[in-house]
Amino acid sequence: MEDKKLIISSAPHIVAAKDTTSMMQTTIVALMPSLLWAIYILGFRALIQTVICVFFCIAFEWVTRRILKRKQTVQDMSAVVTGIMLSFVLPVNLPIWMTIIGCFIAIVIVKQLFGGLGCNFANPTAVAGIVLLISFPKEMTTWVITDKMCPAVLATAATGGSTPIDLFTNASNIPTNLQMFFGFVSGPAGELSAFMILIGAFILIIKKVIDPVAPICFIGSVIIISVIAGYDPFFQVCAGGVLLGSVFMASDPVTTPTTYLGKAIFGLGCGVLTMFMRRFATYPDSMLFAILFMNILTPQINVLTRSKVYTGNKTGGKE
Amino acid sequence: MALFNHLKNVNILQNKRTAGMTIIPIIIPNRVYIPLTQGKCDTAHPLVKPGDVVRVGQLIADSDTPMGCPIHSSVSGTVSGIVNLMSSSGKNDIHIVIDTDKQQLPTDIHLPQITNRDDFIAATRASGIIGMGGHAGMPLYRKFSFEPGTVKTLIVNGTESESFSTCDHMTMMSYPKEIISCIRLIMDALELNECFIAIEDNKDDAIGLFNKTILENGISNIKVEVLPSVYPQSEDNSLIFSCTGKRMGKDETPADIGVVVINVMAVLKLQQYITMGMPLVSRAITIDGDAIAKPQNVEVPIGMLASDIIESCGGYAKPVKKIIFGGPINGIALPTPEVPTTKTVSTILCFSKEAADMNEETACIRCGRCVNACPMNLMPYELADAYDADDFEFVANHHADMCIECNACSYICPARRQLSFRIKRAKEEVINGR
Repeated sequence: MEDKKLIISSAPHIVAAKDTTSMMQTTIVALMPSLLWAIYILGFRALIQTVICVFFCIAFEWVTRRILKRKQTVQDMSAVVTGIMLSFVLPVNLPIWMTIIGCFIAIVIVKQLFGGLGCNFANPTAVAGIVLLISFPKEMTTWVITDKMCPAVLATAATGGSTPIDLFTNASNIPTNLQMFFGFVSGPAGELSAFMILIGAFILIIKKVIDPVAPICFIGSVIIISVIAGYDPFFQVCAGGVLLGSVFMASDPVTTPTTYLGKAIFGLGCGVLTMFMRRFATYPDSMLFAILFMNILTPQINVLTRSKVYTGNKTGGKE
Repeated sequence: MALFNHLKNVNILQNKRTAGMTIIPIIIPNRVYIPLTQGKCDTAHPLVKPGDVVRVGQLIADSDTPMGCPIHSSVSGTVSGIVNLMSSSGKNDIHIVIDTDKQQLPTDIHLPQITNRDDFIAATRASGIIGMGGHAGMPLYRKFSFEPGTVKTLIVNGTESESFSTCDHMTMMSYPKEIISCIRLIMDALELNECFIAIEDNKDDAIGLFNKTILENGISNIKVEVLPSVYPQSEDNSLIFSCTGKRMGKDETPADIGVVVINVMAVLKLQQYITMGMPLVSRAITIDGDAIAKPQNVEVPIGMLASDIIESCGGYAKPVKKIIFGGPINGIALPTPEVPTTKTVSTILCFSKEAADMNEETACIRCGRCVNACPMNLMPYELADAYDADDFEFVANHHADMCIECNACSYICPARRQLSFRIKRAKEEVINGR
């Protein structure tokens, strides 16, 4: 009888409970506080933007894998995470056709054409955000201003809206630290409220989905460089994409180093690059560029930080 | 010393449902099949033939090669055949089949006379004891046959870090005095200076009991070393490092770094041989798993079929889909229940379909959990990828042969990749020089 046959497989015969899909699900839950705040501050359009991104990311993944005749992987929910992350770095009023191009770049080009989950060479959100920024600079820097925001930001309504980091670069009035922390400002949906991102970080760390090493090194290096340069470290951390980038992009397992030392180097590099570009480069919000740059260095960082195997004092045999 | 020095490890579900269940003797079956190749020992030659009447403890097979170890009958009865049977290693090995008379009549007892180190090692050999904690099964007398003076530390392994296993724990709870007296004997005979009894911190009662016994007897050179309940704490590398801070290099054995490691049940069996003259004929095993009706710890005669053991223990609670000799992380899945137990089998697990179903492999997400799990500091995902890509150079240069086959990497992988399986194959290729 077929049913009476015993299963013979190699050890181990039990595995740890956490699998890839549950990690993605926890990440989606961790992103929700930021989404809710964005809906409150920016309006219903934030929800529509996210839904559009998620829908097109899933659709592109499904269609691409169908065309390439590979097994469907939409059920691991990584496309959903990419969709939400993409909507978190784009302006809420971005024309929908540009958003769809962003989804295409993130899912089809960066992810699926390189082999799917685990094979992308860089963070899909970072690459898509950068391509859109360079291609459509005006639309990508036009921000919605609502009356829920703080006075410093409301004052920029006439000139197409400014994020806190824009205000800082232009040496205009910047929001107070309290307004920054809770997020009464404008900007991409994921870069508004430090408080909501931190709730998400808490969820991810408690559930052991991410290693806090890279985020802590990223934020830590931003703080240290701010203090050295004479800026307000609290503002520098809350402004721009530092928190979003450190908690959700610098912790992305696929595109960051695998060893603890490697992750620390990654976080440090991101912090240094972000602050350097803030001071000297054209685009005020430089987190995406920093992440992309460090993603490209990740394979080399992995080689350099490879753990040492103890093989003994005598070098008998291969060494 | 042991507080901060630990090799990398993983936290596993303990599942110690049978903790607290004292070891009970099992009902002797109608027939036993005693394997002649057990553990790392050379295959023994039978010294009996079909029709011979044998008694419990009678020598029935031996080999005069360097890794040979005597095998004794675990039952009294008549030898009914010498057959080839599939053993737990998957190979067809020779087994001596004995029809039992259910009376367990013992053979004539000769207590060993031990006056010096050589006598002691000869007595250890005559007891037939081999490693009882894992699958390796190195003969105990070989572990003791180091150059005099090169080894000064004894580690008695009571950690038992595999899931479900509690037989070592219950052995410690039932025989603390016997174990400690045998430890002193071993230390005297082999001129060892210190002994660590390694116990994991989930066995508070055993730790307390052993500390009390040591204190009562005023012994100063035996210490209980409490280790964290992680996996693979009971494996030699992790155990020695946690207790002494020393590491074994490539191709080194514990004796090369001045340590000898013995499982706590092997110590007990040696004590029973030296004081009562009965060689190794039975051992305690834990029988558990969600498909077993009554999980428990039983003392079984060597060579009893797994199917007979399961039946004597109350049979199945659910249809069984996987039977494992050993723990769930490092055990061997059996093709049928009719496989005989050996001196090294410490646990029998029966899993139903729900527990036995394993997920399919998905893509590696480079999370690095496997790197943080490997006690030998390997990079499992890199070795597995290199093996898949047939990159023999990479695999050899990155020390795949240092893998201890603990399976911690596969256990922790969220993508359910069979990392340790690939690394084991890569290791074989490196060792055999491809």
